[in-house]
Amino acid sequence: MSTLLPASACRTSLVVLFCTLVLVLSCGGRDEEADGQVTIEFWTIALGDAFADYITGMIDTYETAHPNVRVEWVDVSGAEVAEKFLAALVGGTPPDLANLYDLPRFFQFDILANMDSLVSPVARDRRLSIFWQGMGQYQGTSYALPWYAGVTMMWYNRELFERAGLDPDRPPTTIDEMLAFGRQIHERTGKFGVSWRLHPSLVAPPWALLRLDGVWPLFDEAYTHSTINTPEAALVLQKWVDAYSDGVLPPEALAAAHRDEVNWFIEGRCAMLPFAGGWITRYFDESFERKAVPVAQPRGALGRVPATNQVLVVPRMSPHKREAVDFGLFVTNDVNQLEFSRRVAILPSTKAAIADPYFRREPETSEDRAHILSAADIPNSFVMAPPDVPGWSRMEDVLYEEFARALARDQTVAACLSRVQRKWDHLLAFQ
Amino acid sequence: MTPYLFVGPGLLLLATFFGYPVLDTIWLSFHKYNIFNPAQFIGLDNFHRAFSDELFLRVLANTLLYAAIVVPALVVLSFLLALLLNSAVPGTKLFRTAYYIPVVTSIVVAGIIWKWLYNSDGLLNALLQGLGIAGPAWLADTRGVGQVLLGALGIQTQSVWLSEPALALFSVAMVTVWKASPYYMIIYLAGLQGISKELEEAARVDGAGRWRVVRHVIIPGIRPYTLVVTIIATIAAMRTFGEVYVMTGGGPFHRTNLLSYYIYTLGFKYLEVGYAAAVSLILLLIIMLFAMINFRLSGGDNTN
Repeated sequence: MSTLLPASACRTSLVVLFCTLVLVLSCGGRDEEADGQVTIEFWTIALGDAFADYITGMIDTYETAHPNVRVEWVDVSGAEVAEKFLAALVGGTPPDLANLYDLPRFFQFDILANMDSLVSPVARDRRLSIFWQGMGQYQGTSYALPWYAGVTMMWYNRELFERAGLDPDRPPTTIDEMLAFGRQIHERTGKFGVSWRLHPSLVAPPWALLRLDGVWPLFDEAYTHSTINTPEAALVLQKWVDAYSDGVLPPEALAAAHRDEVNWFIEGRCAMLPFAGGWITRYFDESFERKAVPVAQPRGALGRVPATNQVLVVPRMSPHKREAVDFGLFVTNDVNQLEFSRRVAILPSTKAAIADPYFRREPETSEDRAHILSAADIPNSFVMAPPDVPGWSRMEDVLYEEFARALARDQTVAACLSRVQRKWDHLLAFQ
Repeated sequence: MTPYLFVGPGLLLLATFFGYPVLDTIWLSFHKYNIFNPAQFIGLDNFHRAFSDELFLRVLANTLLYAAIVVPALVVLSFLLALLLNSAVPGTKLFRTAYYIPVVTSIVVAGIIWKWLYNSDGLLNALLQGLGIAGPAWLADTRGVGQVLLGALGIQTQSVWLSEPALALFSVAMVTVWKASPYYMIIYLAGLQGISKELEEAARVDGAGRWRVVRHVIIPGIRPYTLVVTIIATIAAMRTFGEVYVMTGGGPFHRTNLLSYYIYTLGFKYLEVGYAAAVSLILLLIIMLFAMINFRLSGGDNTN
């Protein structure tokens, strides 16, 4: 066999090698601006299918008004946005403006631009203060622009109420009443009362259950010790442990994932779903839409309802922070947020947009009713942001684990709180 | 020069996507690193930490238990399926195709369907109810499988020997078995078709029944395939991620948390990249150990 390289084989090998190198080396990197043209990368979460025309329309309008700025839009799925954002940061090619979840993971590392210094007081004042100081605030500083929001209301299944002998026109108004109704529903129908899961809960994670009933804060002011182990906290958690034992909550609540609680409600397994967002009606079929009714969220001892808001962040390492913030303010301005709210049952985070008569319209559908109810409850809401303590992600998992043990009667609530306090204090000592 | 140029692109890809990550993982495992701050050399601290980390030990035990459930189940079930589909009965080709569907089904879809089946008021419990048995909350039940079985017979016990594996872990393992068994069935099928028909006929002429033919002709004949299935299934079981991610998120209280999911949590959620790298290396060493044991048992180093 000849060991000489045939010319064609040599060429083919070199071409393959070259292409491989190009492929490898071209992973990452972004076009640099030429002739003063700036390109900013903008990430949204799961808006690509339904709202592509809205997003591209906004981008076109902005680019027309700012000919030196080009916006590259990337839509990312919600389940992986935090991981992709991390990977992009590590790769040195983060987006310039990104809609991001799970911010506590990032706050303590000082990687997000400080919006208090980048946004003028006038622009800040146009935003509702609960959202400006909402999900994007960490230890007194805002690291995000508030975008669209949601205020929790409650969906309930009239048919299950009737079957359980409850008045379908009198839904619960307090959390205690909600759990009592749930008990009756389980006893009389075999279905579950409240659609809730432990981790990660869309409805209310354990720390939010405490907050709803006025057990807050969970740490001392200096974040040197936790203050969770109190008789008041024990009463609240015991209430939920008893509810779980009595079938108010589905047994799978301990080991559920993703959007299970929404599915359980739509499947008719659970009678009540506290939830922020009228948009879930897109998953209702015609017959279910007749059964499902939105009402204001039952109150806990705090007397207020939880709200959440989406945020846009700008990484500190973005070379185009000013342009990104400017575009972010454009995306979240009154006009664009109102337009977005007209397309889907979300709430704007600006004062002028939420004051629009659209949010006091006569409802035609259950989605409309949910939309109007949640808009009306904004003044009674608080943003369900977790404690802004360093290392919260790990602390939150400690709470989940210990509370799950209590729910499964693997330990008492007193032991749960004692262990949480000890573990949190240990973590705080090593921050 | 020619051979090097031919293997060059492949080697480059291997070095980029396998060699470099492995070396980087080894380097990271000796450092404290959270992505945003410079890595700090801490020697073997991450490894010391792992073996004093209660959660890591719990997750490691879960993973070994998981493999102990999944691997034997896959070896036996895949073999029986292959035996069944190796018979010359009408519709065999259709069955072979149908049985393969779980392999090509996305784990997300499979996970959601199985969650419906496993619901406390799901299909599985409805069937049990028909038999007069009150079904458990499969994915949320932290009792041991032995405790649940005895409980169904009216015997209550708190024995620690019966508390593992937890029913929740067992339920997740069954999804892996359902999804992966057709893949291994194909491997067995290839082995079965390589067994000489004359051997089987000779055994029958000598008076062997169906079971004796299987035991003395077929099982020894497919021994190399059984070892391949065992190795691949062990490695796959140790790396299981999707089932946990989609179905339980590691709950209830870590009873279904497996090493791959734990590594993901450490690296991406807690940003403890150095520690995650150390745990990854421990997983790699365990997998290599299992692979070597299997390799030795198979006589794989005696190729001639």
